[in-house]
Amino acid sequence: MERINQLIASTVIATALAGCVSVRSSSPVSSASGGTPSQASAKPIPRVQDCGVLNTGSPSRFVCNGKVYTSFQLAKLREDEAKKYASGK
Amino acid sequence: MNSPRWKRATVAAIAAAMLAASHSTLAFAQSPSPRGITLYEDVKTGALYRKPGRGRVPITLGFDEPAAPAPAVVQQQVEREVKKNNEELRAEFLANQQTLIKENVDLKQRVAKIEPAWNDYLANFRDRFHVGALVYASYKMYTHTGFGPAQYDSNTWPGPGNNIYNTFDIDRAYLNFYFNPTPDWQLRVTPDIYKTFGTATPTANSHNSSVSSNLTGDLGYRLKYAYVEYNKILDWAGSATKGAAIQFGSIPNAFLPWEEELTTFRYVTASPWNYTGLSTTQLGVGINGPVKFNELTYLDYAAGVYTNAKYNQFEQTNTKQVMGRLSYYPFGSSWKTQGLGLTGFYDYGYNNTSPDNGSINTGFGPNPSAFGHVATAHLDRWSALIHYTAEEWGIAGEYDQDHNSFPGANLFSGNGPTVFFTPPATASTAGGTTNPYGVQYYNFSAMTAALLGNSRTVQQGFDLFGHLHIPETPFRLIGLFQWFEPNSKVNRDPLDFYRYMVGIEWQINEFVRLAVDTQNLSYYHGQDPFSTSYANSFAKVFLPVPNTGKTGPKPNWTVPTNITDPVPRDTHAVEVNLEFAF
Repeated sequence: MERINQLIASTVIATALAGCVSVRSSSPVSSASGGTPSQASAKPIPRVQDCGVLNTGSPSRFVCNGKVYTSFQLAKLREDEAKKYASGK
Repeated sequence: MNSPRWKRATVAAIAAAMLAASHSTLAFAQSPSPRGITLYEDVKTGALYRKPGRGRVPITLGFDEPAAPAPAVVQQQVEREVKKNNEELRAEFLANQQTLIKENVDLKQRVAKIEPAWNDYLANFRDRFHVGALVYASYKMYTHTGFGPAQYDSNTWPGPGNNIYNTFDIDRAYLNFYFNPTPDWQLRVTPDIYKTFGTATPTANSHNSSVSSNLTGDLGYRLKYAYVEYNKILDWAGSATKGAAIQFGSIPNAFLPWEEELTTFRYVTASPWNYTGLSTTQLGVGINGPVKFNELTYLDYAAGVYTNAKYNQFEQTNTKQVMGRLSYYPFGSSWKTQGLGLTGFYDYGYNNTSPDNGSINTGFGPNPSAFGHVATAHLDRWSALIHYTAEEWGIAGEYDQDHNSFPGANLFSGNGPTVFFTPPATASTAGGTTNPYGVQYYNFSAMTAALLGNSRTVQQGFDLFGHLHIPETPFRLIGLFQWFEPNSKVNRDPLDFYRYMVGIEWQINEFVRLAVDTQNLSYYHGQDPFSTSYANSFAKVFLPVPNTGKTGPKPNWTVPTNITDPVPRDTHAVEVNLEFAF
C-alpha cells in the first residue's frame, strides 16, 4: 500500500514538472473562441480556473489579471457571458 | 240701435235677478258639509234638489279643494317625477363614479410610488447582513495507521494495526454571519459544527434503569468566531495606514489565518503551526492592517492579546499570551501576499493550566514533580518565512522554533496510545500486583511524556509549501512538506518526524474545489532502543515501583534499561477533499 502513496506522489510531482514546462506567459483570462466574430473580438472575462486563490471564506476572493474579484463577482461574470452567448448577441 | 241695447239690458237684469233668487234658494237647499254643498240633480230635467230622490244624482259643489286629477294625469306626473329623479340620480352616480375612478387612479399611482415597508426593511437588511457557509468534506483511506497529530479538531483515525481504515468525514462546517450596521463596524458570528469525542457513560433514568449515551460521535455545535470589528481605527493617521481593523471577541489570531491564505489549501491539510498545536482562534483583542504607499502594500501586520486557551477551551490561567506578525514586501504588494515577502511571527504565552494545578505528574511513575514546573513554564513560538506569490503559483519556506509548545497531547491529537492518556495505576508510589513496564505502549508513552512534557523543551521545524496552476486547465498542483523536531535537545529523538502532502486540485467553479491527495506522516529514525536513563534526564519517569503481588521481582518491578521500538509507526493516507465556500 505504501507503493500507492509513492505512486500518487510521483504522479503529482511529474505533473507539476510538466506544468512548470508549459507555464504560459499570456494573461490568465478565458479566450472567446467558439463564438461569433463579434464574440471573438469581445473582451474575455476572467475565469475562476485561471485566477489565483486569495482567501477562502464568505465570499472567497480571487485575483485575476491583477484585479481582485469575489467568488460572487466571478460567478456573475460567467453567468452573464453564458446568457450573452445563448442569446447570440 | 236703442231697442236691442234695451233688450239686452232687460235680459241681463232678469238673469241677475234669477241668479240672485237661485242663489237664495240654493242657500236654503244646501246640505251641511265640511267641504261644500251637496245637491241632487234630476238627470232628466237637470233640476237641482236639496234632498235625494228617484232619478237624482248627488252633486257636490266644493269651495276649498280642487277636483282630484285624473289617474292618467297623476301617473304621467309621477312618471315624469320619477324620470326626472332617475336622471338626476344617474347623473349624480356617474359623476361620483368618475370621481371615484379618478381617485382610484391617483391612489394607484401613489401606491406604486410607495416602497412597501417590508421591501425597505429587506433592502436595508440585505445591505447590512449576509450569511455564508464553509464546509470541508472528505473521504480518507489510511493505508497505514499510526499515532500522530490531527489535521482538524475532529480528525482522528484508529491507531496501529488498522490499515485500510477509511471514512467519510465532515472536517468543518461553518455558517458565517456578518452584520454591518455601518460600513466601518462589523459583527461576525461563525458557528462551527464538529464531531464530538469523549467518555460516554450510561445515564440513569430511574432507580433501576439506564440509557446508553449517544454523545460520542455526535455532531456538536460551538462558536468558532464571534467578534466585533472596527475597520477605521487608523484612518486618522492618513492613507498609508488606512484599512487597519481592531477586533474584539473570539478572533483569528495574528498568524495562522494569514498563513492559511498563503498556503491556499487549508481544506486539504493544516499549515505547520496549526498541525503542531496552535489554534487559529483565541479570545482576545487584536489589530491588523497594511501600510501602503502608492497603492502598494509594503508592510502588513497583525498583533493581539489572547487567552492561553483555544476558542473551544475554558481559560484556566491568570496570564495571557501575545502574538505579533509583520510581513515586509520590499517591492510592494498589489494584493495580499503578492510578490516577494518576508514575514516574522512571535508568540509568547503559557499552557492553559490553572495556577493552583502545579506541575503534577499524572501517572508516569512515582515522582510527583517529574516534569518540573510545566504549569507555570512559558511557551513561545517564532517563525521566519520567505515567500513569493504570483497569480498562478506560489512558494514559501518557513523556519519555526518554539519552547514547551508541543507536549505529548499535541503529538497525539489525532490518536495516541491509550496508556498515554490513562497510565496504569500501578505506575505510582503505591505500585501494584502487575508490572506497569510490561503494559503495551506504556514505556513508549512514558518516554514521550518525558521528552515532550518537561518544561525545557525546544521545538524546531522547517517547512516548504506551494501551489502551481496548470495552464489552460482548472487544475492546480499543491504540496506541503514539514520537518519537525518535537524536542531538539534530544539526540536521535524517536519522535522526530516529517510529513508531506502532494495533490492535485480541481477548481470546479467559484464555490467548489476538490483535491485528490496523499498525506503522509513519517517518524524517520530507525528503531534503535532508547535508553530509559537518557529519558530520565528529561523527566524522571522510569523509576522503580513497588511490587505488591506474590510473583515477580521483589520489592520493586524492574525498570527496563531501554525502550524497544521507540519510533511510532508511520501514517499514510489517500484522501479526496472537498471545499464548498459561499
